[in-house]
Amino acid sequence: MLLLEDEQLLRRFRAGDRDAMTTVFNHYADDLAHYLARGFAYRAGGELRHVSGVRQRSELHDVLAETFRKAFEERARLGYSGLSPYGAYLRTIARNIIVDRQRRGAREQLGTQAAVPGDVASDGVERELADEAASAAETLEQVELGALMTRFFAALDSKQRHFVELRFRQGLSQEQVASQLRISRKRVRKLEQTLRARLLEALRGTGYLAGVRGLP
Amino acid sequence: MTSPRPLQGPACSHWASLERAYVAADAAALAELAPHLERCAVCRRAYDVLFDAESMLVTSEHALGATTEPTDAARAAAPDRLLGPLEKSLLLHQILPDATPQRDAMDAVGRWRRPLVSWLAGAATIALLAAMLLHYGVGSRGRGGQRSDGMQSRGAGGSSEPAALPDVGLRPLCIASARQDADAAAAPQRARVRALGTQPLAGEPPRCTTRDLLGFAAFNHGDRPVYLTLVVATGDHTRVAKLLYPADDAPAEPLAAARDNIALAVAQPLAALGAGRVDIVGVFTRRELTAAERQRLRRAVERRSDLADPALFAPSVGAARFFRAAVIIGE
Repeated sequence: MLLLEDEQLLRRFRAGDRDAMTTVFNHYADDLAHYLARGFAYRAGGELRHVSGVRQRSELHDVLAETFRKAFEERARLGYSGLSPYGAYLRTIARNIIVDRQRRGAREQLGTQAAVPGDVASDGVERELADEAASAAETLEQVELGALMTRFFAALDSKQRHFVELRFRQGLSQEQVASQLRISRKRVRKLEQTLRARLLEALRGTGYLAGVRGLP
Repeated sequence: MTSPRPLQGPACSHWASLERAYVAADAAALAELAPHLERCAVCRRAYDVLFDAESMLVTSEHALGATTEPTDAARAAAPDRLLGPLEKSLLLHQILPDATPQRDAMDAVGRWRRPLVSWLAGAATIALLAAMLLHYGVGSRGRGGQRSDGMQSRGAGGSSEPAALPDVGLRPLCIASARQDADAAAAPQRARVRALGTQPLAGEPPRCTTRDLLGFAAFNHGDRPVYLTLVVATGDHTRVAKLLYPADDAPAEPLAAARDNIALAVAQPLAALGAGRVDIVGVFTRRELTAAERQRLRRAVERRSDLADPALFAPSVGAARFFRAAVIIGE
């Protein structure tokens, strides 16, 4: 409801003020990410269709970036009336992006099938089974990764845990974290870098990043 | 508990850059690698694992379940977060590339020092402008940021930004193949290479023959790798543009920093382009262009559209430097 409630922000946003756009992004990004990760239903030709959630992080980033890029174009900013909820407006753009991609994907798949004739019915069943197997593997991987992160977190000292709480969970800026912990901003950056390096190391140690050549 | 499944597939040299950018929380460097992720399943998979793991620090039933519960105030401030701080700055950089680096730079200094930093930045800008005016001369630049050496630069917002990608350039070469030379008894038994120069706009474009091959050597005297995309447009009337480098759907190798005379894997037979004028357009960017951006560039060259149009590339491309040259192909 941010843009509905703050008229001044809406004016600045429509005028293309970068700070205003950053505020709008920070306010809506998480909600939109949840929406995309959960999946959604939509109606097409009188038929209700369901789109499963975006599973890969890289794809989630890609769709989020494309959605906000479209929504922040001048024409779209000026086209937003400020009378309806902006979150719903963003979800419509995101939904269209996903549905368009799926249609393009389906067209490409049809093209492949036409080029390699075969038993389409059994091919469809095999694909469904393969999708199910992939989905089960991803779920298993999420559970494994969750357990790994629990161990990772448990191995941190209390200061690092407090840092994770402020910076990652509460989403405070580095400057805010520095102020809360009464340390310099530079120190906060260093803490964050150390934490990320440790996370990387933990993932490598368990074989998660095997197969890619890392830093020496 | 089963053991985690290791990633399959060959090693990828880009992953080291990705790791560095991740550990340093360098949103700009990560954004530059986004086009590579589109093509490289190995890096994409590892990227997904990395950010999935980090998101568990954010959503954290997994990681924070074992520690103190967050306060109500914290819950109210961040009721249902999914994206980590690096993910947000990465996305912001992709959406508003001009905004985030500047903000990060200002955040990096204490409040009390900001007026001093602003003053110094202003003074540095004036000094830089003065140096540029002295170097290039006030009246020497053509329309739209065009320079006498055929280079033209562009900022993310379409503005001219000559200092953004300095010290990069391209030398088109007219190559007479060894086989053709061998056919002619009097010709030397080695490839003749004529550099076409980088100042074709100053006068008559140089001439090659239809027996020649068109090749390129690039240089990157800067301290960071750059990517090059090359388009050639043929015929004054037909104006058909072709993506010369990288080949369609092929990943481009970055031009390494501090290198001169980098030979590109391009040898275009000029006979295939036909006699007449050929326009060459190269664009240097910090990140590799996506397939869609390459096609938009090709169409823009075909239509002679404005190459500084911000809609040509996604904002995350940042600054781009264009190179233009022309060659006359004779019989």
